[in-house]
Amino acid sequence: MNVHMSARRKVLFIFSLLFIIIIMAVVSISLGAANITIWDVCSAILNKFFPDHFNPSEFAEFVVWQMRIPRILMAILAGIGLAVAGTIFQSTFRNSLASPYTLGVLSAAAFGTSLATVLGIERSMVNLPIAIMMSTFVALLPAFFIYRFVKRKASPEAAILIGIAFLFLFSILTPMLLLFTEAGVAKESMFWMSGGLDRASWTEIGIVFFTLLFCIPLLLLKSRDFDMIADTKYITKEEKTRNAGIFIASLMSAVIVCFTGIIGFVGLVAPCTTKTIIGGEHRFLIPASGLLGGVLLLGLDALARTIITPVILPVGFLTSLIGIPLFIYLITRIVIRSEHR
Amino acid sequence: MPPETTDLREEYTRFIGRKILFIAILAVLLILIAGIATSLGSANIPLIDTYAAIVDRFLPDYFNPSNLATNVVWNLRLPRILMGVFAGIGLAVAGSAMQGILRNPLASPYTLGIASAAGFGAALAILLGKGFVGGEYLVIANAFIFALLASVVIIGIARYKGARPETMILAGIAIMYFFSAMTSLLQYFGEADAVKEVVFWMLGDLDRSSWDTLGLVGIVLVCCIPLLILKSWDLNVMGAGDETAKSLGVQVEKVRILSMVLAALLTASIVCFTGTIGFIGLVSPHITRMAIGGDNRFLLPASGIVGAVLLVGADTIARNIIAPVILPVGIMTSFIGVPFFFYLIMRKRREYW
Repeated sequence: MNVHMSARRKVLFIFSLLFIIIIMAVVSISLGAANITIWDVCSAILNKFFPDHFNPSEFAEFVVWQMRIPRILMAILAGIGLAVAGTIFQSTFRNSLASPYTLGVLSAAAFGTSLATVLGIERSMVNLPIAIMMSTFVALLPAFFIYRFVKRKASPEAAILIGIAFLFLFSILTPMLLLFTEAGVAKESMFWMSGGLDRASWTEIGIVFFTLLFCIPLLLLKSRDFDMIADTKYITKEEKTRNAGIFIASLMSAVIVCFTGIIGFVGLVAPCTTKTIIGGEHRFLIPASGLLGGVLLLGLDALARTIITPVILPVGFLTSLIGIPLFIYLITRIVIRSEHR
Repeated sequence: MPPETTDLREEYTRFIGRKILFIAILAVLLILIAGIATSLGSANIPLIDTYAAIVDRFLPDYFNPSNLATNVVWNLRLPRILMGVFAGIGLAVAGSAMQGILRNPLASPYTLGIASAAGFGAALAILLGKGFVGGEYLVIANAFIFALLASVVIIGIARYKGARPETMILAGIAIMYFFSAMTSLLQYFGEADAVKEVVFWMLGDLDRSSWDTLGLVGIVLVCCIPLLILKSWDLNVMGAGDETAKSLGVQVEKVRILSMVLAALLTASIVCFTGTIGFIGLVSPHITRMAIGGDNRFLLPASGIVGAVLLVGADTIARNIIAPVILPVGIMTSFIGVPFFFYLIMRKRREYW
C-alpha cells in the first residue's frame, strides 16, 4: 500500500490515538445506570493516587473502581489484543480479509474454554491457566490448518472460506457442549456467541494485560520481518517468524476470548483502517492498529451500554454491524481488482 | 434407420431410465422414512399403526387404528414430518437451481445469505405487527422482499467475471452474518415471543408446523418447482457458459433472474415457518449429482427428494438423540453440512460437476 507519510506524522497519529483513548475512557466511565458526572470520575480516579486532595463520594468511588473501570480496561485491552492479532494474521496470510474472527480462531478458542468448563475446570486462579491453555490449543487448530492450506497456493477467498467453515463448526459444537452443563445453556451460549464485557474482574484484566505485555513487544521486535512477509513482492522464507506470528496472534485471541467471548470484526476493521491511514510498516502499524482497536471497542461498548438504556447489548452485535459492511466492501474490491487483471 | 442410431436411442432410454428409477427408489425411501419418523416419539405407536392411521383417512373401512394413534399421528406428528418433507424439497430445489444459475458448487439459500435475509424479513414483519395486513401473507411477503434483496446483491456480484465462486460465497456469508446480527438485535426491541426465540431463526426448527402453514408452503412449492423444472433445459445449457447459452438462443439474463426469484420465493416461504435450516440446500444437490449426474431435468426433482429424506432424517435424530430434549434440527443439518462444506472448498479445483 503506497501511503507516504513521514515517520514523525505516524508517531503523532499513534499519540493522538492514545490521547483519544484516555478521553473516551473517562467519558465512558461516567456513562451508565448510576448517575456519575465526569468530575466525580476524575476525582475518584485521582483520589487513589493522591489521597488527600480530592473528596469523591464513597458511592462514586465504589461504582467507578469496582464496576466501571474493569469493564473499560477490558474493552481497551481486548480491542488492542484483537486488533494486533488481526494485523499479524493479515500480514502472515497476506490476506486483507484475515482476522481472528474470520479465520475461525475466536470460535475455536470459545470452544476450548467451554470444553474446560464442561470438564469441570472451575474458574479459580489455579485452574485458569489450564483453561487458557486448552483454549489456546484449540485456537491454534484453524490457524495452522489454514496456513498449510494457503501454502498449497489456495486463493485468499478459499482460505477465508475455510476459516468460516471452522466458525460454523465450532459455533454448533459449543452450544452442543453446553447442553451437558447445568448452567443456563441459552444464556451461556449467547455470551460466547456475541461477546460481552460484563464479566471483567481485576484478576482477569491482569492476565490479559500481562499476556499482551509479553506478546506485543515480541511482535514489535520482529516488525522488520513482518514487513517482508506482508509484502507480496518478496518471496520470503521467513517460516519461523510466520509460525511464531501465527502462534502469538492465536494465543492473544484465545486469552481474550476466555474472558470476553467472541467479539468479531474488531481484528478486521482496525488493521484495515490503520493500513489505509499510515501504511503497512509494522513498526507503526502494530501499535497504531492496536490502539485503534481499543478506541473502537471502547466506543462501541459505550454505545452498547447506552443505546437502549436499561438493556446492555452484547458488544459483539455492534462490532459485527460495523465490520460486515467493511468485509463486503473488501470483497468487492478483490472482485474488481481481479476483473482488471 | 441405420443400426447405430437405434443403439444410441436404446442407450439413451436406458440412461434416462436409470435416473427415473433412482427418483422412484428415493420416493419409496422417503415414504418409508417419513413413516418411521412418524412412529417415533414419546407416545409409543408401532409402525403399522402409524401407516394404518394415515391410510384410514383415505380408505375409511379397511383399517381400525386406535383413537390415540389417529390423534397423535394426524394432529401432532404428521404436520411436523410433512413440514420437514416440504422444507427439504423446497430448500434442495432452491439450492440446485442456485448452483446451476450461478455455476457455483458452494451456492445454497443458506450460504448465499438468502435464508437469513428472509428470516430477518419474517422476524421484522412479526415484530411490526402480525395481522397488520393479512397475517401470514404479510410475513411471507416481507421475507420474500428481503430474500430478493439478498439475491439482487448476489446476482450483481455474479456479473463480474473476476468473481470467483469462493468470492461470491464469502459475500453471501457476509450477508448472512449481517442479517443474523440484525435479527438478534430485533429481540431487544421486540415484545413478541416469536421474535424473542432467536435460536429459532438462527438454527431452524420444525416445532411450529401446523396444517395451515403446511398449506401455504405447499402452494408455493406447487407453483415454483414445476416452473423451475420447465427451465431446466435452459439451465443445462447455461452450465456450459453464458456465451454458449446465448448462441444457442437462451435468454440468459431472463432465465437467471426468473430462476433466482423463484428460488428466493421458495426459500422465503419455508424460512417463515422453519427458521433458517442450513446446508440442506447445499448438500442434497451434490449427493444427487454424484448419483445421477448434472442433468437439471432430473437433478431438480431428485435433489428435492434427497433433501426431504435428509431433513426428515435429521429431524428424527434431533428429536430422539437425547430423548426428552428436542434439539433444533438446524444443528443436525449443520453436522452433515459443515464437513461437506469443508470438503467442497478443499477439493482440488477440477470441474465441479
